Amino acid sequence: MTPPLVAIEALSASSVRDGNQPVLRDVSLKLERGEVHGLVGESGAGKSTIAKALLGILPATIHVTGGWLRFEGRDLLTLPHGELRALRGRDITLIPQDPQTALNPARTIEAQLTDGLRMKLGLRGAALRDRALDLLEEVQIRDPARVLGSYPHQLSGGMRQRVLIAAAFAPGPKLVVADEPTTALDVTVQKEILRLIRRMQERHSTAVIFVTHDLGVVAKICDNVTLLYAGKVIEAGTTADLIERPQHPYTKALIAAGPRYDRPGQGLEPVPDSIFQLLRAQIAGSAERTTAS
Amino acid sequence: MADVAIPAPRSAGHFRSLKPLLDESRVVLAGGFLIILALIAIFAPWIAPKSPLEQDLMMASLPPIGFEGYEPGYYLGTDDLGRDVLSRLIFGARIALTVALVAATLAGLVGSLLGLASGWYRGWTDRIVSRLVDIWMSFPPVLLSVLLVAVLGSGLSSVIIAIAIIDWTRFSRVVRAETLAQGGLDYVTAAESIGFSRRHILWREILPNVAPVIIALLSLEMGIAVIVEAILSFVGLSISSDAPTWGGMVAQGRQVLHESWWVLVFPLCSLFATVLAFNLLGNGLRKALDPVMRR
Repeated sequence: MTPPLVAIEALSASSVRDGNQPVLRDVSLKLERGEVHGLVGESGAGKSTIAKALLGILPATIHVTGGWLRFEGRDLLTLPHGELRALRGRDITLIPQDPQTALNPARTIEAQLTDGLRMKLGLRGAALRDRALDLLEEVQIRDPARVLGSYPHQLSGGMRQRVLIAAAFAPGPKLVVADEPTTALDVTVQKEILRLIRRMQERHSTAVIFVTHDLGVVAKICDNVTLLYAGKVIEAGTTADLIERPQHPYTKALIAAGPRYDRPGQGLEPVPDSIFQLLRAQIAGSAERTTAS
Repeated sequence: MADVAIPAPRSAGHFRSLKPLLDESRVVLAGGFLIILALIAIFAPWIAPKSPLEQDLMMASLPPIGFEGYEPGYYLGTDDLGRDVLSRLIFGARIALTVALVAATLAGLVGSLLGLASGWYRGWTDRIVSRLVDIWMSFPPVLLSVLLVAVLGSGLSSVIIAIAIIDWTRFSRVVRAETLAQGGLDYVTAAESIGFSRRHILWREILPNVAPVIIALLSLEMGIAVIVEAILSFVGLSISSDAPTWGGMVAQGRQVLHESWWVLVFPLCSLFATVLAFNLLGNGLRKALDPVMRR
């Protein structure tokens, strides 16, 4: 039996800067090939930390204190530097959050789009350019030749995000980490971008880890979801199960807190304080159990 | 350079069009002035009507053109030793521009490298460089330069070295801040996630974005270098006292101000115009290069 594409087991991490405040507590999750997995939570829930750990770009202030982070059975945390570097950017790539800053303003789209192809696949010359043109067509950019010669400031936000998606799928990765790829975009563009990611993912049967704070986005694009709070997994399961039959009160409250288009005029329902108290108690309880054992 | 096949060169990219530079009137005006000044300096021996050093006591303290007692050929008059003011100004431009160019480049090179290193690698590199800057900046710059030239001995190269030693901190501080800011942007994370080395990212991704700031600073620093050189010549610490430096001419003209004001006024105007031009150019460049880089 082949191991799952990604298996995170009991991963714990803490931030050195905040007095060893835990940022991940015993997080476990599994990701199969071709699966779109949502990592959901509010700011500070640890979703970006998991994404960064997968990409091997954790800031120096965050220390992994325990657990495993396996990619095709190999633990990324103990993998030799050279192997990790070969993996990053080829088997695991990133769709960054903010298309405004994710492209280098001083380099052309072509130079940036072909970085991965040149470095990871060794393409050169005409083959490189042809592949870049194909990629831009695949993400539905009109006039790809002109876009290749452009600088980022000459493109719109949606166009830039398309370029970034093309770059992420360029080397034929097994896993794409999408770090809130639609938060910085207009709502109308968001929808197109989500559809585009889904289509690219299906065509290349790539697994995607989709980091977001928006359950609505999750419902549109993800097969499975893991909901985090303060670095702890609160609930996990298939998207349909989690949204239609939420088990944990926090999940229920979150779903209730979303805008309801079927009942306009009702306003938004904040997550009640009692639920946060419950969450804190649960987290404190499980921390005690860990130290006791 | 493995990427020969890529038609658009990466670092030359943002200069592919000079239009944003030419749209900025300050850049055109100040740049034009400085280019003319540089040409005058380069071709000084052919342009200057007289020798800058030749004394002729028969022709001492002649007024400039249009004033009573004007002697044809001495357009801006002569000083109390009978040396032609215009010729001395023209040769003085050589010294001023040499100091400006070389000292600013040296200071820029040292300061930018240290700033890039401390802003990008942070940690110990940053701590050492930043403390060094703090210590450096607690010295009064003019005193430090006088001290340095006194130690190094007078002469053109000592002046240049003194300016570079004093002023690298300007570059280091600004470049460090800019590198820190650029280093936090997502395109750097993206480059890291592709697996580029730290050094590659610094030179190929970050430096092109910090370059406009360095270029603008270089221009401002050239203006400062001209002033510092003038101050040192004024107090007689620059090059030998009869060499035609603008600062030296001001010092000399100060003593004969009541008899022959032109000995003081013309070098002062040259200093003023040159420093103003460098400052305008610097500010104009910063503005002109910015929108292309950072929108």
